[in-house]
Amino acid sequence: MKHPLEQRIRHDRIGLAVLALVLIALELTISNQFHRSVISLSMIFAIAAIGLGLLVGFTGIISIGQGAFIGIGAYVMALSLRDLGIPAIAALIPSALIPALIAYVIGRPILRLSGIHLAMATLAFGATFYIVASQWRSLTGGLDPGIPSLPAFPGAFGLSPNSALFYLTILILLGVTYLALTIVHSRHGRALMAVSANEGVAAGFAVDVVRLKTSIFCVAAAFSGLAGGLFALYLRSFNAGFFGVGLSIELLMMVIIGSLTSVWGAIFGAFALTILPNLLEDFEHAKHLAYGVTMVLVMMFAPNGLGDALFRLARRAVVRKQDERA
Amino acid sequence: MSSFEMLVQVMVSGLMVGFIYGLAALGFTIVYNATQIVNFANGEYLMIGGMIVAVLAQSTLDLPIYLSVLMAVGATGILGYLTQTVIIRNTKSRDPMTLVMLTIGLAVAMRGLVSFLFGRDVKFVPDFGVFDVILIGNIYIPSQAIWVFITFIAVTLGIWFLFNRTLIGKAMQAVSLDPRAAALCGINPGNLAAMSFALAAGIGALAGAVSAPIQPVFYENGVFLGLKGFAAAVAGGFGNPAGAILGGLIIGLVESLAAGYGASGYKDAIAFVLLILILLVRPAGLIGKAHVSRV
Repeated sequence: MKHPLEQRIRHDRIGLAVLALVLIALELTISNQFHRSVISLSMIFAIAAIGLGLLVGFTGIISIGQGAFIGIGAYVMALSLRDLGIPAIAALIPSALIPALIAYVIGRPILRLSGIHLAMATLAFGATFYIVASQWRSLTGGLDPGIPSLPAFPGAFGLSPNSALFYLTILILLGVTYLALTIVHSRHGRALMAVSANEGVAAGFAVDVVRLKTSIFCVAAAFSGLAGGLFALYLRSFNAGFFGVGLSIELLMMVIIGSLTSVWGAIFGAFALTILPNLLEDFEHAKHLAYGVTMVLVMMFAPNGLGDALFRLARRAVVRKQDERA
Repeated sequence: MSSFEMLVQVMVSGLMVGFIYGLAALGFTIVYNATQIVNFANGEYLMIGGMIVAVLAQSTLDLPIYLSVLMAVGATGILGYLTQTVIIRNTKSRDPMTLVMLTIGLAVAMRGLVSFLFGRDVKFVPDFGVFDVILIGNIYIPSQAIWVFITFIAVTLGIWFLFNRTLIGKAMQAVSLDPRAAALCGINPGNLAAMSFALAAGIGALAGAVSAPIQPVFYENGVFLGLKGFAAAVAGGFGNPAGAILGGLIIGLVESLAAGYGASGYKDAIAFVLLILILLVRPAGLIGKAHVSRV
């Protein structure tokens, strides 16, 4: 019998391989432009949701301002391409680092706040970012025209620009997933869960709580920034309206729909919440109602996340069947 | 217009929105005191109150305004009551983080319901009338501001009376001080929790209804109104009703001064930055001692 942690790491490696194969298969088989863009957006949101999952699920920090970091990443990408002429791949680095830096500057003080105050502070930060992004027109173009027509992503290795960007997104999603899993399985991950369970006890076991929270906040911001950079590369024109409070809440929804106890849940949630609205016609005007009701029901009956609850139910059924056979 | 008149004018509009923020903050405070829950959906009550009045005003019913306000307050109050009795009471987890996400979900659902039922356009509500515009020198006081002021005074007095002169109010105070001891004295905390939600929702709806002619109604208004109400509640020392009202006035004045003398586009951001600063520097509130006893 192997150690449960070793077993989990092995399962996660298999999961990563399966995810990579599925995504590559999708890129090779799907030719419909609209379907491709839905899958791409799902991957982009998954990158940001994984970071938020680390925050909400593992550290117990509710951030309702994650959309701001996506926005910062997107604007860094846009300005690097447009004004500085940096190649897109290189510009992904500041797209991740600048949000992380900003997260450090604001996180260091605000992460001292307790849960509810912290949630409000992140909401205030997110709302402030939206106002600044829509008002600072000389830099961002505000709500109209916003950032118009960025240069197209170049093709590479004989791939069309479209495929190259798709592969790049797959690569980043896999990298981010791997990184998140590594953090969760490391001693830092266990320290995080300790902080989430009881800060005082964690501090008693020599966990530097503020430092740990700040670093995870920065990691989550960097993931969101990367997602934002890719978002800018995909859309090529966007405006401040994308980065309102609604985006932050949608990300939170992805984590809640997925799982608060696993990195995979965030990916599941991001795909579910990006694909479903596009499948259902006329869903747009009932979207928020459906989101809100789902969120309430999940918190009432399955506070660890919907995907988590379904997964547990399925596993219980399998175990019962095995028992019956035995 | 002299610079002094300009200052007074700016402060008049600051007070006017400050009254609204104070009422929003009161809702946060009442619910928090009775249940220890920070209700992220509190701003939505203001939006719903305004929306109901707006929809009734646009309908062919031709109701007198006091009746539509009454209906808005009643409907939203019932909604608040149901929120507690149907949803929060049946939630298994008592973890504060779960409850925070639950109330965020409630806020999204209410926003969604309103946009689903009444559409996503900005709605305008005519002034309530009766009073004339007041002009003192060059200072202009809109007639709706008088309604806002009357509402504010009435609610403040009503809340004072409730907490100090009635058995229900005293029971609420007792629960906020020590829920278990209150239960031992025969107070039912569940009932009080439901009543506090209804009261907060009703006050919110009233604030939303009287401010509707000043700030056009939009289904997304609740987010900013909620944040500003929360900022006001924090500024006044969370859990203190008098502080919440004062906090509302402070936030309204600061915001209005900043808009009048600085960049009006960034007006909303100023309240939010102020909120973050207060949380960091004086988490116990701007007024009063570090340990504020809840009234």
